[in-house]
Amino acid sequence: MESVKIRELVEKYWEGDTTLEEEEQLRVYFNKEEAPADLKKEAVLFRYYQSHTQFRTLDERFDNTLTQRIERKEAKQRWLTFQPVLRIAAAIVLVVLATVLFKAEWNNPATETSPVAVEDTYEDPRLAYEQTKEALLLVSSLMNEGTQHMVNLENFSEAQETVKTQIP
Amino acid sequence: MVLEEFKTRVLPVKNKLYRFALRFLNNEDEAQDVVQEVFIRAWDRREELHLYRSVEAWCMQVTRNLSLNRLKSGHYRNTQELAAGHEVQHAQSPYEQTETQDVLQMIDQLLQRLPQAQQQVLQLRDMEGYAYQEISETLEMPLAQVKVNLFRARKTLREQLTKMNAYGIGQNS
Repeated sequence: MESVKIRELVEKYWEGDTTLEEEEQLRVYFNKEEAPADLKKEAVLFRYYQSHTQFRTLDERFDNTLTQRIERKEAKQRWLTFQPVLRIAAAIVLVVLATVLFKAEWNNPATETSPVAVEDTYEDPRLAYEQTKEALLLVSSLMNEGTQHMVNLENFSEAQETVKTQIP
Repeated sequence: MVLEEFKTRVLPVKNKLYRFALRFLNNEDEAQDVVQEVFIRAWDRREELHLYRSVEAWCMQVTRNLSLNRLKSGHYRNTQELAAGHEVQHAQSPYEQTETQDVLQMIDQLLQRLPQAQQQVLQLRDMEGYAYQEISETLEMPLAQVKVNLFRARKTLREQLTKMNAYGIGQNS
C-alpha cells in the first residue's frame, strides 16, 4: 500500500475518524510490511493489538471443563424430571401390593389365625413314650461325653494350683 | 439446542469474552471462571437464545456484569500477572524479540493506566473490531460517549508512544 495513503489513514485513526474497514487495512499493513521510521509507534501499537488477540485465548481444557459441567447439570436435570414419575410408580406398586394382600386376607381369613397344627406320628402312647425316652437318653449320653473332657481340664487346673502354692 | 450445536454456535465467542473479562479482572483464572459462568447461563437459556438479536452481544454484556460483580465483591485475585503472554511471530533475532516483548509489555502497562471506560472501548474497537453501536450496547454507554472515550484513549496512547519513541524505545521493533 502507498505510504501516503497509510499516513492519511494513520492520521484519521488518531483523530478517531476511521471506519472499521480502514482500521482493518491498517492492521493488515502493519502486520505484514516493514513500517517507515516515522510510523514505528503505530507499527508497535498494531502489533500489540495483534498479539493481544492472538495469544490471549482459551484452550481445549476450558472446553472440556465446560462440557463436563453442562453434562453433569443435564444428568441432574434428567434425574429431577424423572423423580416424580418414579414416585408415582412406587405409589402404584404399594397400592397394588396392599390390594392383593388385603384380598387374600379377605378370601381366606382362617389361614393366619388358626393355631399351628401338630400332627401325631404314633398311634400307641407306649410306643411314643419309648421312642421319646430313647431320644432323651441319646442326648444325655452325648452331654456326658462332653463333660468327660471337662474332668481332664479340672485335673490340669489342680496341678497348676499345686505348683503355684508349693514353689515360692 | 443440543450440546454439539451449542459448541458450534455459542462457544466460538469464548476468546473475545475471555479477553473482555481480563480487561476488568487482570487475572486469568478469574477471567476463565467468569467466562465459564457466562456459558452456563447461556446454556440455561439455550431455548431463548434465538430471540436475542446477537448472542455474542448478550454474552459480552453478561461477561461485563459478572466481572463488575466480582470486582465489587472484593474476593477476586488481582495479581497483575498479565505482562507475560505476548509472543511475536515475526522472524527476529533473540535480541530483537526480547526488545519487542518489552515494548509490548510497556504498551500493556500504558493501556492499564487508562481509565476503565477508555480501556474497554479501545479493546472492543481496536482489538475485537466492534462497531460503535455494538460497543454502545455492550457497555450500556451512549454512542457519543463511546466515541469520546475512544478518541481520548487513542490520544493518550499517541502521546505516550511519541514519548517512548523520543527516548529511543521501540526503534528496533
